[in-house]
Amino acid sequence: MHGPLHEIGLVEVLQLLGRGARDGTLEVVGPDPTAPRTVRLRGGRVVAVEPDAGDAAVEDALVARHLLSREAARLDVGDEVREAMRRTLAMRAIGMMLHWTRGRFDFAEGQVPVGPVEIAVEAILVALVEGESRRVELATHLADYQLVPTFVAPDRLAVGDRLVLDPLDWRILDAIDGRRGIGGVAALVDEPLEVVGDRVRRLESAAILELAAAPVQDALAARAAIEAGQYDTAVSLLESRVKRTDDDREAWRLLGLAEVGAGRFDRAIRAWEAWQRADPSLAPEAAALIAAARTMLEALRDPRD
Amino acid sequence: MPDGPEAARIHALRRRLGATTAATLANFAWFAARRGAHASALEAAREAVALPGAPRVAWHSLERLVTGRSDGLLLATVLSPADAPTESAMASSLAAAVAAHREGALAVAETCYLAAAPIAALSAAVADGLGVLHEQRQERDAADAAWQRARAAGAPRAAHNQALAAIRRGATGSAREMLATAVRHSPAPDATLWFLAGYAALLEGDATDALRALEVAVALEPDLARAHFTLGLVHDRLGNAAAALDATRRGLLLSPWYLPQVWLLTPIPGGPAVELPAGNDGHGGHRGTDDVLLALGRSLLETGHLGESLAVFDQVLVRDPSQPAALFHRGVVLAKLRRYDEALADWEEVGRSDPDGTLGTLSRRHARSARQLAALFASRSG
Repeated sequence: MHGPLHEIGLVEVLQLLGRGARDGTLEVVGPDPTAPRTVRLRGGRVVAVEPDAGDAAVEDALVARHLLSREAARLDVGDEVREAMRRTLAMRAIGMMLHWTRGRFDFAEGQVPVGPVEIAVEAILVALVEGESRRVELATHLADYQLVPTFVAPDRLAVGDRLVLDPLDWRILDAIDGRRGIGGVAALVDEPLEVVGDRVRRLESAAILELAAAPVQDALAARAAIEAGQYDTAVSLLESRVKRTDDDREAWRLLGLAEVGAGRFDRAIRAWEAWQRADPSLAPEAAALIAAARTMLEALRDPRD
Repeated sequence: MPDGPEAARIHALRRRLGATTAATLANFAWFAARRGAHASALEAAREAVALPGAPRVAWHSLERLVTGRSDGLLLATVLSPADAPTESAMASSLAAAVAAHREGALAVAETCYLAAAPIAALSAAVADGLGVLHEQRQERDAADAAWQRARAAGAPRAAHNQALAAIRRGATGSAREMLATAVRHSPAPDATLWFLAGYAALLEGDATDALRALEVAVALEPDLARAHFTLGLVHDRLGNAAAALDATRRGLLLSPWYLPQVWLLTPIPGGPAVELPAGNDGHGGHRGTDDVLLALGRSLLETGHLGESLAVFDQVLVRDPSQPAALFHRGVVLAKLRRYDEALADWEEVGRSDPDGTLGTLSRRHARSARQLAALFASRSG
């Protein structure tokens, strides 16, 4: 079974394979042809997603989350934490792949050994829909994740109910700098917006954090400027934004867009490369835009140069 | 050491944690160290290792902190419970299914419905949702089977949805029978069933029965826009121009769109229904809205509101420039406004597009008069 993703989406493919309890390997090439993915299925259930949920990726994710140190091997987190992370990464990777509308898939039937994960297709889809619904719902409460979390005053922070915080809560608290919006916090801790949004709201109701309006809605103003064709104004707003908060992925994306509008493809490429670094989960989309900008840059280059 | 406010914040957070677990203290040490509060971090790490069952990362942090290092500290993990699907997770699958269904992601919705199916309390709503989904995919046997299961399990909206499917399949008579039974057996009066019964009656040309049912529907649920719009159509059919105008205006106050065909989905058993417009592939969509607009335009015309009436017919013609009824009636409005040349153009258009129909015949007759009047105006101005 094979075909282009613009004709049959991965949702339908996985659903067919899940219902048919099929064994085999699904190769998926998305918008970035240099980064193919492999999904292995056994009895219609996903048992491996590579490279996103391979051993190296799991280790990288644990290190990035301060749960594992490459220097201190004796401090291994244990199989349960490792496998929970693998499952999270697998779900996240498939969630990303389900959005692909460019590229192709190839399924080869064959025996697949027991894998490191075992996830039913419907569990992936349910989690995906729930996540997206929650993201949209929270966006309205959190001003499109632009609200800026800050610590409450020390006298308020010291009192209140006993706290039970898990590692993600601590990482979120660590990312609070009084300037970064919730979206920026999510990008920094590399967790889904809705997960971070939920945690921030919980920390707010526990009187640890409070939420302030974003000081200047640079992104909104920049978007309006782009729509009005005032690309230099947009560039100036966005440059000042990324100077303050260099992990604001949306600002980097818009900056690339504004530079394209102004015909400066080289600068657009630089902005989108920064976007790629700020949000690795959208790397394929960024890569596709960068490739397009490069093509334009070459097409417009004076042949005498 | 951080400056004043940061130090105060870290101190306050430590106070807030109070007497806590070794893992929490280790994590606080990680946080304080990253904020530059080395002394607070060291103290917390010492407290952590003094507690029974201190995690190894607490010792690791202490080792580093006592040597003056604040980098490379780790967080102590607290493992989440195994994520096997729980009953509440499966219950949320139903909400996820309905969310996906509303977005038109039918494959995702189907998977989510099936994930929710094992819970007995959800089975009725799941079967009803699957009935709608199969119907949308034109899988009629599967839809009927799903609705049979849904009705046997007591799904409150299954009768409505199945009757709507019958209407869309052209079996309006059987839909009316189904709705008459459902209305009789419904545990509480249900405006959506009464509305659909009235709508089906109107489609079958039974305006009197439609009027009766729709009046019950709007009495039960005064905010049901589609019932007001349909009531307007019924009054128009019965020649009650003022009542048609009134009902249509009420509908417009509630919604700009006339969507008579709406599936009802249940995201939470016992909770309110989520409406899913049945789309343009059946008798709904723009045609329904145009019917209402035409009725509204005629009512406005008959009650002497010529300017408003003209605007309404224009609105229909923007979407469908050759809509014969809109052209014909706009011609009438224009003639009443003594804009004979424009009226003539509209009627001639109807005469060309519908030469053998009633409107075509009428239009030709009107056009002759308009030509005479236009000539009269021309000679007067000349």
